[in-house]
Amino acid sequence: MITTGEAQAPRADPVPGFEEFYAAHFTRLIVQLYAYLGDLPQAQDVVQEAFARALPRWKRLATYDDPLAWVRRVAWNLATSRWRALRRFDRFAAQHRPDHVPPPSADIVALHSALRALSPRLRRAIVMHYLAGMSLAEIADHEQVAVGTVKSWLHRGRTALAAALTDPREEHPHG
Amino acid sequence: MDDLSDPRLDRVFSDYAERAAAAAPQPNLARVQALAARRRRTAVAASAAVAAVAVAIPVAAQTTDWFPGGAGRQRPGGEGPGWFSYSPWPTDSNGVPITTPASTTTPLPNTSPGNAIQFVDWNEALVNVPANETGCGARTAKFHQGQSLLNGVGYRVGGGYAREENPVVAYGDVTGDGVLDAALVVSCVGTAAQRNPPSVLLLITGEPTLQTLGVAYSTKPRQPDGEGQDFVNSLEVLPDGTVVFRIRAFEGLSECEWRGRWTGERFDGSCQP
Repeated sequence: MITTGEAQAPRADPVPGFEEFYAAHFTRLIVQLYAYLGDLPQAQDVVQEAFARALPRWKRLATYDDPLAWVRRVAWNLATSRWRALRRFDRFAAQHRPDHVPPPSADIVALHSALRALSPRLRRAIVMHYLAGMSLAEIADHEQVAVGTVKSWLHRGRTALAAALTDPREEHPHG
Repeated sequence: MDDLSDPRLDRVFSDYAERAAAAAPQPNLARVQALAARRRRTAVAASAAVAAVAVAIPVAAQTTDWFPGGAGRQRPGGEGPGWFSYSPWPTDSNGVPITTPASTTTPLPNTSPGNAIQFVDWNEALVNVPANETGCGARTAKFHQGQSLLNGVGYRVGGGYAREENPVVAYGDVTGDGVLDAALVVSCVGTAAQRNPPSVLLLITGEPTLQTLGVAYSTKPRQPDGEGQDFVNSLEVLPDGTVVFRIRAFEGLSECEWRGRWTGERFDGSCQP
């Protein structure tokens, strides 16, 4: 449940197409940023903020081939930039955070723990690959590196994750 | 992508996506609208504050972040960030090219003498991009659908960062010869881009054929982490020939407004908040 205050009053001039776009992509972006940050309220903050930045320029963004790429880039940049540290909207965001976030399941905690052990770039590449469904070229473009670099990151990240997520009983079934 | 497939990890992330989506809050459009409104109010207040500072220290703003071009290809001010401009062709004392520039072959319609350049489809044009520091270098860019790429590296018609339907171009008599010129912005795209924004302002004269007379580009380094990807927009040529555009951060926030006059050898310009 989300607390409401200023946010309760919808504007009288809805922007055509934005609401559908927002509804279609909000949850999936939350999942990606949740995996990267390991914190659901923070993920919610950056994704909402990214959509809030998209809203006033939606008329232009709607003409792009892939407006989601813009929002995704802003959300990722917010997640990795000083924005979180500065917390310029901290007070406002605090008013609108979920009242209650149920504790994550053991599986989620395990994956978060494994992802947190990766460097931020490896973690981003892994999340973009597995949860955003981005191609190697799209990740390379997003990270401004060569495709081969992304391949290397994914290989290293996957190896580290596989090791971290391996159940010891699987390795030693008879031990 | 077989070498990247791992059924176990695929399953782990698939399960994670389901569980995390179930735990995620519901979309709340009203909250997004409220955040946007709050940002708008904050931006207005910040603009007022910046304007007050700009009035107080306009010269400092020029000399710290931007420098007003230079003569020839020798960039003044060492390696500091700024904006550098030059003419790719040697000129005489009157600013007239001594040698005939290598012209592009894009045909100009002859139905509007003096204004024909306005009818060029830049997304499909052949344009000389002189040497610059954006990372893509000099080339005769043969644009198709707004791009001229070789192995993913090259120029795109536009102000950088996002692909745009319409080219960033403006027309006016920049050189003062009574004939319309085009101020066109192209940007180095891909991993080669080394400047922020990775954009090149081209001064192109239209008659008898398209010729690139001048170039200006940012010398501000690109951020290694991918942040700070500025872009150019709101380009226009004022009635007195001054070229104006805005530098914006990737979120669309305005960084500064660049204004430059063509001296015959280079743009003499600077960027102010």
